[in-house]
This record gives sequence, C-alpha cells and structure tokens, in this order.
Amino acid sequence: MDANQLKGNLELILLSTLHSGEMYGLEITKEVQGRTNGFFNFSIGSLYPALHRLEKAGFINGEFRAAPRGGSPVKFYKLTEAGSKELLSRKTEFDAFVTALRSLWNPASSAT
Amino acid sequence: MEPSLERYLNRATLGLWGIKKRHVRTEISGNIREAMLEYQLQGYTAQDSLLAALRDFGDARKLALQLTEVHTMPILHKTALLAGVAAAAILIAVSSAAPLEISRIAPLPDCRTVNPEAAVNAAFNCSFEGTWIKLSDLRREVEAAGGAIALERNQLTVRFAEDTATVTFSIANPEPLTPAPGGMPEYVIHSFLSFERGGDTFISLGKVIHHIVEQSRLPIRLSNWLNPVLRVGDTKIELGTAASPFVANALYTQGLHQALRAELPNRDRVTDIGTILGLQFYDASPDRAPAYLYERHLIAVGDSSNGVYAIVSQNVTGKTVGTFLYTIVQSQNGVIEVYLPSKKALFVNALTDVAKPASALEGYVAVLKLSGALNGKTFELVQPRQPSSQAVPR
Repeated sequence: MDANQLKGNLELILLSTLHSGEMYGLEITKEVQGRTNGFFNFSIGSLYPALHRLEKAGFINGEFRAAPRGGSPVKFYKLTEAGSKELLSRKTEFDAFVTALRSLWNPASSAT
Repeated sequence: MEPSLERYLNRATLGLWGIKKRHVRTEISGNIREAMLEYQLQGYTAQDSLLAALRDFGDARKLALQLTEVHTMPILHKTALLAGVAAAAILIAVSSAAPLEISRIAPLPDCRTVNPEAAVNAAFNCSFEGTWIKLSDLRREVEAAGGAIALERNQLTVRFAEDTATVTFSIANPEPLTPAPGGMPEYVIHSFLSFERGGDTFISLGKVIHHIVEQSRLPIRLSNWLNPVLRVGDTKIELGTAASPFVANALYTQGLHQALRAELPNRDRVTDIGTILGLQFYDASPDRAPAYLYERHLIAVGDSSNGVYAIVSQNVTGKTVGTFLYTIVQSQNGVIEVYLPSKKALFVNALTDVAKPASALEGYVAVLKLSGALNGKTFELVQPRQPSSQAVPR
C-alpha cells in the first residue's frame, strides 16, 4: 500500500483497531496486520506518534502496565467515549469520500 | 540495557525532554522487549532478536521527528506566551506530593561480563541492582503525613506522625557513584546502603522497609506489584511513577519475612526470600541477557486453576547458600513441581533439593500461596496462617 495513503489514514486505522479492545503498540500492529492479511504493513515505530496524538486529543487513554509476556512496562491504549464518537464520525466521512470517489470512476451511475 | 537498544531509544527520543521523554522511552523500550521475546520464541538469539525488533520498529531518526512534532513543537509554539504560567505550574508540581521515583543503580560492576567464572562464585556481591529511594522524596512524604526525618552523623531517624517509636538506622557514609572500568555502569561503594548523586542522597529501599517493619509499631501495608504503594500507618508512600515504573519484587517478601520472623521462636533461622526476588541473578552462559525474575515469568500464574506457592525455608546447616526461594506449582492432580530462579551453579546445593522434592520441603517454616496474576495486575499473598504481628503485607 502507498505509504502516504497509509499515513493519511493511520489514525482511522488505530481508532478502528482499538474499537475491539485495549491493546499496546506491538499488539496493535499485529492485530492490524492479521485482520488485513498484511495489507496494512507499517513499521511499529510509526504507530507511537499517531497514538500519542490521539491520546492528546482525548480519543484514547493510555496506561502503563507490565506487558503480558515479558513483564516490561508497556502502555495499553483504549478508546474513550470521545474516541468512539470520533471513530463513527471519521467512518462516515470516509464512507462519503469513497462514495464520492466512486462516482467519479463511474459518472453514468452517479448521474442516474 | 543493551547498547544498541540504548542508542535506538536515545535517537528516537532526541527531541523530547523531561517526563515525556521518560514516558516515551519506557513505552518504546517495553514494546521492543516484547518484540524481542517473540523472536526468541522463534529461536532467535538475544542479540539477533534485538536486531530484528529494532528493524521492525523502523528508523529511529524518523520516529524522533514525528514524536517531536507531536510533543515538543506545540510546546515550543506556546512557550513565549505561557512561560510565566509554566514556571508557576512547575513550582506547584515540585512542591506537591508526587509519587517517588525509584532509582535502579547497580551496586557493583557487572562482574559476569568482567569475569563470568568469578560471577558465579561471588554472585551475591556483584550480581544485582539495588533499588534506591531519594531521601528528599521520603522526607516529603513523611512530613506531609505529619512525621519528621532527621539525619545526623549518617544515622537516619524517621518519626511517623502516629507512632510512639522512631525508626533509626545507619545509612553508612553516602558517597558519589563510582565509575566502573570498561564502560560498565557506575556503582556504589557502600553497597546496599546509600549513595549520592546530583546532590541527593539515595538510600537502599530494602533497608528502609526492613527497618520500618522492624522498628515502627505501625501497621504496614504493601499493595500492587507495579508501582506499589507502601502504607506505614497513615503515611502513604507511592513507589515508582508511570514514567519510571517500579516492580515490587522484594518489597512484599521482605515485609513478609519480617512478619514471619516476629512469629517464630527460631527466628534467626528464617531465610529471607525477599532478596532473591529482586536479584538480577546470573546464568553463566555467555549469551544470557541479565533478567529479573519477574521478567522471566518464573512465578507468573499461567493457569488460575493451579496454585503458585513460595516457600520460606530455614537456613540449612552445611549449605553454602543462605538464601532459598522455591516456587512451587501444584497441579490439579496434586503433583508438586519445584522451580528455582536459576538452574546454574549458583544454586547447586538447592538443585540437589529440587531433585528430591521431599527434601526441598524439609525444614520450611511457611508455605505461601500466591494468587492472582503477577504481571500488570494486583497480586495477593495468601498466607496459610495470619501472623499476629502488625506487619502484614497484602
């Protein structure tokens, strides 16, 4: 996948992933890769700035706890109520964008 | 910490500072370590797993730019306007009762690297980090609860507000950290007691707790494994912060040890199971990365249907090692398996006992059932009997 396209939608990807429950960075990467059969494949490091941005915006909450396997502290993130609303809003926006784009690919169907 | 990991973290957090820098370092480091473990499960060596994990995490400089954009740039933009407000906020933050930050400094150089063979023989002198509490932090917490702390000729006296007794003990002669040869971490000359750094005196946390438990007449409570809270009467001392997390380790068991000692007629024969929980114990194999017990999951509860037990054993005459910890797992069919923190030469005498479980159990003074998850969740010690002493770790 094109890196810019991925970057542009990273926050939506993260919000969508955390919708299914709290996770820490490495877990999120695996979840995304697993659920999209590797379609979204990004360096793990690139997640953190986006996660921190979402946290600052109040859309997710992070909490340090020991990692399930190693015991080293990692930060678990979960969606806040504001985050759930934001996800819904961004999904609607994205759907509208895709619909509009499709109408450009197929002008005849949009005209009818 | 491994030099290449340290380098990566330094680069990735180059544009950050203060607590945010520590937060981000902790987070990224924890995730890298998790990634390393996954690779190790696939058969990678410690070194190769680190390289693979760092590759997965991507370019550190790129990450640094993005993190700076999120965390530092907005602050810089606002700095001029908010300088006055920020200064006031910092003053308030410093003067309020923030959780204590625990320093982890190796008391002695890592002699396993310097001389692996000597490390096995002298492991108790060179193999573990200490946990240290800043004296000024301790003073702040004690005074906030109405108590007082005095330091005179290296004798520290702590008076808790509601206690009629005082806790007094020597902190030796705090000296600056000593640089170790060959790029090894700096170390403490008066190991286990105190050191000075940046004008602050740091005291061994284990010693502080030991003396509080032994000398104060107040009920003592310890809760949580991660960033535990120590309560001495009405004084609440939070250990560790989100930015500098601290795992309880020996705290529980040291307190417990003291509680049990007070109950037993032959108290001098009770060994301290606490120390070893905090040990950065040694495996003599060259590729073995230093690891803590909790990091190795040796006493993690994998199956809640099984109990995990620890034994407080007596010193056994003729044994060269005075400290024993056995982690006992009792399966559903009643079979007891005994695990030791290390299966190397360091515990060779104890290994003999492992081969004969009956012998391992001989002479124990208490079996402690541990319940709950160890990592990340509140942990509870369930004692078979409740000591009447006030010191009851929980």
